[in-house]
Amino acid sequence: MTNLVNRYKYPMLFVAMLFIPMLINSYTQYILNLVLIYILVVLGFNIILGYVGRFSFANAAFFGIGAYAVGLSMVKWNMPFWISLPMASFVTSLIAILVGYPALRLHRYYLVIVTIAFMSLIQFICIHGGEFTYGPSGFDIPSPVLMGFKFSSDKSVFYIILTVSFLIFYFTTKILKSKIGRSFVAVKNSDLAAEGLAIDVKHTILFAFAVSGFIVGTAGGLLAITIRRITPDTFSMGEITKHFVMVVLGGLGSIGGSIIGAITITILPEFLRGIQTYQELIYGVTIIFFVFFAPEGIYGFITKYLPGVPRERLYKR
Amino acid sequence: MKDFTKDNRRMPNQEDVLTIRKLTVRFGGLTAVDGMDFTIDSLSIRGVIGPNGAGKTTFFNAITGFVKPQAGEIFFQGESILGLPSHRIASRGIIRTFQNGGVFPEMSVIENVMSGYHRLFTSSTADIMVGRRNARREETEMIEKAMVQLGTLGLAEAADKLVGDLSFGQQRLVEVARALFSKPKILFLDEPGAGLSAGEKATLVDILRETRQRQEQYIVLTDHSMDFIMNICDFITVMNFGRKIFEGTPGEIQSNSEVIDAYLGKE
Repeated sequence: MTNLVNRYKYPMLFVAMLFIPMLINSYTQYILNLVLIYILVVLGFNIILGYVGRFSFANAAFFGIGAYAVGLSMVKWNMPFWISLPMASFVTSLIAILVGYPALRLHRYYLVIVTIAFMSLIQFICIHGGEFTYGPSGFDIPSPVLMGFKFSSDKSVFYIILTVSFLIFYFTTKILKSKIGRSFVAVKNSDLAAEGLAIDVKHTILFAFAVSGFIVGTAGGLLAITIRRITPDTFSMGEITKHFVMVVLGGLGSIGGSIIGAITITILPEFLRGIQTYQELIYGVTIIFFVFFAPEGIYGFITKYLPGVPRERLYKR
Repeated sequence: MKDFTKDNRRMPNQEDVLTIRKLTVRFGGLTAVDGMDFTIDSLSIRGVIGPNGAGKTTFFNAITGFVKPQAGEIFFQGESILGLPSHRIASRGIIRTFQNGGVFPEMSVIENVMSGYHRLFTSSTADIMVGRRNARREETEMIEKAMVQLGTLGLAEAADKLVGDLSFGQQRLVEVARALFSKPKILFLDEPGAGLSAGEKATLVDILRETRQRQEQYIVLTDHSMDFIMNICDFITVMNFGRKIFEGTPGEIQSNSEVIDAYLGKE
């Protein structure tokens, strides 16, 4: 019985989550949609920061590129969402591979600078793109339509996000808990030793970027139909900082950490809404607290001090 | 057994596993490896010894592709591997360990050992992603083999421990276990005994002896401990100033005056 539950826990969770829109109001639904999207964003970022350990901060750029690719292809070319989303995922993945090339040579601070510059460049293009990108005020995104049904409400969009995020989550877990995930961490820990075990470091890093770009680009596409209006603010220093805090707070190099980080930082402001004045303060103090007392992130903290919760493995029995 | 009817020095022979001719590595003005000839033709444990700075590590680095030699030839099973990237050399079965330790500290012991299997995996990325049966089976079988491998080294209980939390000596043993798990054709061990406790060193000697008995891989190792080298090696190459100054059995080494002068020290 427990075996059966264990085996089908994800399909069961998926089915259970299908009923959520019946239980919550539209605003909570909107927040939940954002949570699912940010889980993907953080998962994608974590592959770069926590798994292959490259200090690439182009994550918000991938997020924005995914969002713009979906938005623009829907608005300009009347492309159906169902085609523009996978298209955006692949385009972002390709761009991520290009960003991966400097990551092969540049280390740490230099890569941080180059990737942040890349993000600013993309943002600059979107602000000053004129007719093509609709400038600084952005543009509205139409609702996806499937056989006459318009996904215009937050509750209907949730079903798209839920399906896509489960699919991505499934494939990503398979990748990370396999020889590929192990080769990611091997490259992070020692690229020389990795090479010595026949791991093609260059290929591994580029593949990590491709996967990361695919995931984060898809998340961007989902963001487009969730907030229904895309502006160049989608990728800014503020946004990448948020991603960074989510990864570090949740836990570098773990899937569980990505989920916890995304949920915490997306929901926290909602709880602090009542005390608006102190919102930023509490937010900041929380982060400082965790950096000092749980440098391995919330997930790392749990696995370290809570008996019975093992560290996330890089294999699946 | 060494076949004396063939002159191995002239032609790279199919039966020779590794033939190295006139290998030279220079760093600026310094010639770290100077015209080294080296042949592995029989299943044995080979030792490479020499004083500090003799070029042993650079010699290993050049063979495994971590350093690009300026001149010379390297044939592995009759094919030239000179100039290949190190991961390609490793995927052919030439695996090495590192003098300063090359474990992955953020992985558990068993995950470290598993990563040795990287070159032997046959399932494709796509198979892994969609969870195809063959990929799942390969992974499951690999995990079982990894557990067995750990058991033989007495590390089974530490399987889920992070390698970074282990003692230095245990980390070195994990590295050797990982290298052996990749089923190397030739295994280069760069000072495997350094930093090991007496007990760990005994374990290491046992592993190497057992490996030799199973006749599966050729082992080449360096070490500074003469006892260790003489104890474990069947054949020893002595280097000094990047050159090979002598080659022979431990008995011959100990009685050769040139070696004693250069390395063991004058009486």
